[in-house]
Amino acid sequence: MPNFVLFCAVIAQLAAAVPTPATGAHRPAVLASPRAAASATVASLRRVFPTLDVEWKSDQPGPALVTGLHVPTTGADTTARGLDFLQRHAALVPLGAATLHAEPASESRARRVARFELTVPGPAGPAVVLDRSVAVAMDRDGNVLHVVSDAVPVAAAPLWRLSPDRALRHVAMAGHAVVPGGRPRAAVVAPTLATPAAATPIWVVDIGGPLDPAVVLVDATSGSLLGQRSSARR
Amino acid sequence: MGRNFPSGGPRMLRFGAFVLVFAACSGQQPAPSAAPANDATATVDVGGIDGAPGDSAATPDGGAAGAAADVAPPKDVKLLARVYRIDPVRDGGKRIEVLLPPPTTVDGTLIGPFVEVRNCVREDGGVPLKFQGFQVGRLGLEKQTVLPGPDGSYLHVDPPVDASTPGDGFAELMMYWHVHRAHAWFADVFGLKDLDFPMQALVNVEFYVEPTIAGLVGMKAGWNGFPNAAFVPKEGFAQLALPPRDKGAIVFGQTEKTDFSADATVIYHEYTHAMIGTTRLSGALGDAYGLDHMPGAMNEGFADYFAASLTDQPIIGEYGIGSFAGAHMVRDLSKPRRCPDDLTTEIHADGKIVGSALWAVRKALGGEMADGIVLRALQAFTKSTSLLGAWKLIVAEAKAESPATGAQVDAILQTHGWKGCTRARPWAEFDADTAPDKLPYRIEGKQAVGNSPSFAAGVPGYVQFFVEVPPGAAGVELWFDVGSAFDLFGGFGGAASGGSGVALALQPGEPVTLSFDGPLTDLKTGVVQADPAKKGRSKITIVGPCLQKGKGKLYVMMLNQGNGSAGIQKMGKVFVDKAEGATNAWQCK
Repeated sequence: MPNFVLFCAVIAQLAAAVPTPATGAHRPAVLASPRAAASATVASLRRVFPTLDVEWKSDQPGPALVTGLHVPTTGADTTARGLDFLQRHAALVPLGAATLHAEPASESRARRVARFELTVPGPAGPAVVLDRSVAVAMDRDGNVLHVVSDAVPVAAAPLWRLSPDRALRHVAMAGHAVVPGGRPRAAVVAPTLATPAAATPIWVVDIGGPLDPAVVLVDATSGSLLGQRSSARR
Repeated sequence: MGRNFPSGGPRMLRFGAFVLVFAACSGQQPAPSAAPANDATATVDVGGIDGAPGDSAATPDGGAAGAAADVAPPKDVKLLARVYRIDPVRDGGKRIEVLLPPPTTVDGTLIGPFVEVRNCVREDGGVPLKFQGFQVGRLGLEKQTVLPGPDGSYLHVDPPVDASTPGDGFAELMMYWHVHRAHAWFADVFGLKDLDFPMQALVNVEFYVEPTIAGLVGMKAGWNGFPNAAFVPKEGFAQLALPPRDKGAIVFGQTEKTDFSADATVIYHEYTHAMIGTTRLSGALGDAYGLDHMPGAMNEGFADYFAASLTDQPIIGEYGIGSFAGAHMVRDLSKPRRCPDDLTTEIHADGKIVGSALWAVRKALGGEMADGIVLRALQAFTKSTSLLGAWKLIVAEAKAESPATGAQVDAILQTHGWKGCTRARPWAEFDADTAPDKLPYRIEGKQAVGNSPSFAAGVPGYVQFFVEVPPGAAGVELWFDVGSAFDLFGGFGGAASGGSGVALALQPGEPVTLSFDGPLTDLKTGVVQADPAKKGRSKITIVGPCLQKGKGKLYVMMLNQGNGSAGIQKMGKVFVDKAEGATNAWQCK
């Protein structure tokens, strides 16, 4: 949590650095045309690093991968250095209304990797954007070598219309064994095949009984069940 | 570690599996090990694992505990033990003598700087097992059972004569040594700090089912084994409202045939899963070609690769998987697999596309360089890194060694189909029972992925198929048998099997692609319903000009319209020379 607070402060600075008009009519380029802004940033980086290699995905406005960089950073630790880079190249990772939540960095002798989840404001604190994260890989001196991203911009902070109790009831009515005492967690499904139009606010409900340590994803607007998954890895 | 069941049965096994996973520890009372002596023991060289990379010292990491940083204790005084280098089968029952890192406990029970081993024994006091609010049994009690002998060593801790022996102390010893060794390898060779804490490792996991309720839940009365091994992150424990394990745990079962702790490749596999954690390769996504299970398959493939690298041999689970699931499930990374030719839709099997490619890189470059390249790339992965992204990252890290190395690695990964792999296989004669992995093609149902408009026509599979219609053929009859899918946690995971009603989406000349802006009805040729000509078998004959539009090549995406997952058990095709009289003929434009 301290990391998150620190990060929110940094993000606030980032937001201040890119003024956002009150209306949507003159939104910054990062929001108005995320792919174009990302492409422009990639082009500018390629002028400095001609061997830059970039992977684009059809459902993601920013690049999924940029390699061939050697960009120095400043900061007290790996996370701060990663944020420093992202601040100076924000168009590479368009976030919209989402912010980055620092995860523990991965440190080895040759690499230090800053890692971030995406979150949006939820009904009771930050809500994670499922399956989306960002990694900034650096050498030991803090020079950025690769940026890897699943990030997609979230157009606006969604509204969780369904109460957590209603979500629990929907899951129980579908025949799942809701974990006694378990409380649904707010999260967001980013635009994907399953939610083509926009980010979807959801409740993540623990289920399983003794069988499966699994969760069901409940649409926090309609109450429909959006899927089921397990976190165990065998 | 992975498991793959044929249809039927697994739900009972899964029931057992997770009970124990969530066991809480209570009433720990360390007691001397009662493990029987083993006359199969043969002591070999002291310390280390011969031939294993990065293991030049006699201890896995004697200094990491903060004590005896540079000087290992004299071997004849303390901390000696005998463990399997790989497993009882590969090692022919012989063990190597090793020097354990000093436990951090006063009494010498096996809690160390980087692993806290918990033996789940058949004693009262384990966490009650509840299902749907009813207590159906209890878990084994978690405790440490192994103490040093009078000479301070652990040489008296032998494997049980019978692998089915529950609660054996040797499982604790295997886990203690091999987890510390894995940690030392990642930490000392590569400086990785991600797992610098005493990870919980549960061994001999079983659970007890009350006789009065066993029949109702379809389980055996009394003690039931956990037929698998797994990494369960912290949120997995929270899902059952059981006492939290803040760093998650690796969990190893005990069955009537197999003690999963006796297989070092299984231990290293699960340890690597823990190292990868939940912030990498955990995504469950779809792309333009359907559901994409490759993040999960890569997670398995990397876990296999480092398990192979740590044992300096390419076979994963010869004992742990082979004794339980059969030899066909043992994963041999020396046998190349490529994308898309060898796709099965199961993440452990498809992990071999990743593991075998990385093993080939290791053979080409040597262990230290290959391992470093692979680990550095893996560090930068995200939750949903694609196979293409993985290829680029690994090649980039290889190029950092030298351009020639980069080119060498690039060529190997391309040979295995990592670059631009379109997940489509020929629609060929297929029988899951005789396929190399004995696995049906799995198609998730709506229970797993939800009821969104995009899936109105059905949930797309992980792999597409294509048919090459020869000139002169008027059409092609496609047939397939739909049954239950194998049951495991992977990909979207967790949903029940039993789907039915598989439709086909067709596209001449190029793969069926999904739009992110609307439902599947946007497909150029639409979705056709296969007609179940007889129980379990569907047939459809495709005729019409679309076959020529694609120059004879027709892509097919299977769409599961049921709630549960479906498994394609058999499939085949017959070319027809006239459209008249064809079975369930469908005219395509």
